[in-house]
Amino acid sequence: MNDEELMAAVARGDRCAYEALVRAHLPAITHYSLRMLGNGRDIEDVAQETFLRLWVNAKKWDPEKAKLSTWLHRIAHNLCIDLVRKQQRVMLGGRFDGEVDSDSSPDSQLRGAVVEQAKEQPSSQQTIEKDSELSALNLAMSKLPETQRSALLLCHYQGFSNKEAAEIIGLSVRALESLMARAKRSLRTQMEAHYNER
Amino acid sequence: MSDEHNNRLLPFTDEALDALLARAAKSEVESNIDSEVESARYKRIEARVLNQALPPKATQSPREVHAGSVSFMRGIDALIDWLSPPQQRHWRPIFAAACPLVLGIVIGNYFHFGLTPTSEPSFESWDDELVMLSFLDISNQGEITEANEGEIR
Repeated sequence: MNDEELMAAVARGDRCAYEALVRAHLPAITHYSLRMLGNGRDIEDVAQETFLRLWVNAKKWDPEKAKLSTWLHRIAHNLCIDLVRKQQRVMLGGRFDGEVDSDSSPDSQLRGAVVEQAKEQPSSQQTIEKDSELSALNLAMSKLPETQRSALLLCHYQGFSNKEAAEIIGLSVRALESLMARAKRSLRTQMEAHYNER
Repeated sequence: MSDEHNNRLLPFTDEALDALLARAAKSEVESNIDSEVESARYKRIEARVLNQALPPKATQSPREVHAGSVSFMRGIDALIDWLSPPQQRHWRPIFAAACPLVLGIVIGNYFHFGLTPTSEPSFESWDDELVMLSFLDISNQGEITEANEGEIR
């Protein structure tokens, strides 16, 4: 059964169809949430809420407007953005108790995950250089604003086209391309600063 | 590391950065997502999503809304979705807001609502109309005018 048939079954209340859709699309949603939020309970919350909304709003999905993966990523994107901004508001507005609060924000979790991965380096010099470059890239991405990060993730990691990524984020294609250009400029600046510190 | 080494590593061009991003998506750092630790986490997430309590779907019953009302509500939903599209197309809500005005103009032009041309005096020229206007009593004190002078006397 394809996505359309499964969604029609979910709209009728078919739990088996729901489980089939979860197994098909959960990996991509989890990977996207992981790259946006880092490790933590937030990924589970985003994944659970995304598929809950799939169940509740199955009738509203129109296959002619967007693919199911695009629709699901849009839901996950909005949830991730809300979480990141909520955490930022909490950190800026509330008291900041040193490492405990700083470690709980999605951005800090993401940076922590990147640093942990960077520590696991194989021995060959060429591989070390390549992984160092990739680690610097991942660290720079973790410092990007959430919308810029999301644009890069959707286009380069999740494999969406510019048009699909623009639909997910809720921008025009031109606005998305401008956003990605700014994101890449920021990445270059971050990576340059990172290498200058070493 | 030397500056020369750092410069060799920095992706100065968009193409180089795109290549680096593509490599990152496929690299061993990304493949750590598929490691045992991550697979255990993924299994936990999958179990939580599959086992979560899902709200029951609305079922048809004799006391439920009539099928005609259901399709009417779906039409309303479709109209609202059309008016608030995901991308910026402001002409849609503006068009919808202008519809009552346009409709009113059309109705006013084509329907008279009991006001026929013969119900009001029509004058062939401004002079005739001014003569008729001069017979009207527009003062607040109710002075006797030429029009009703014969009646009073």
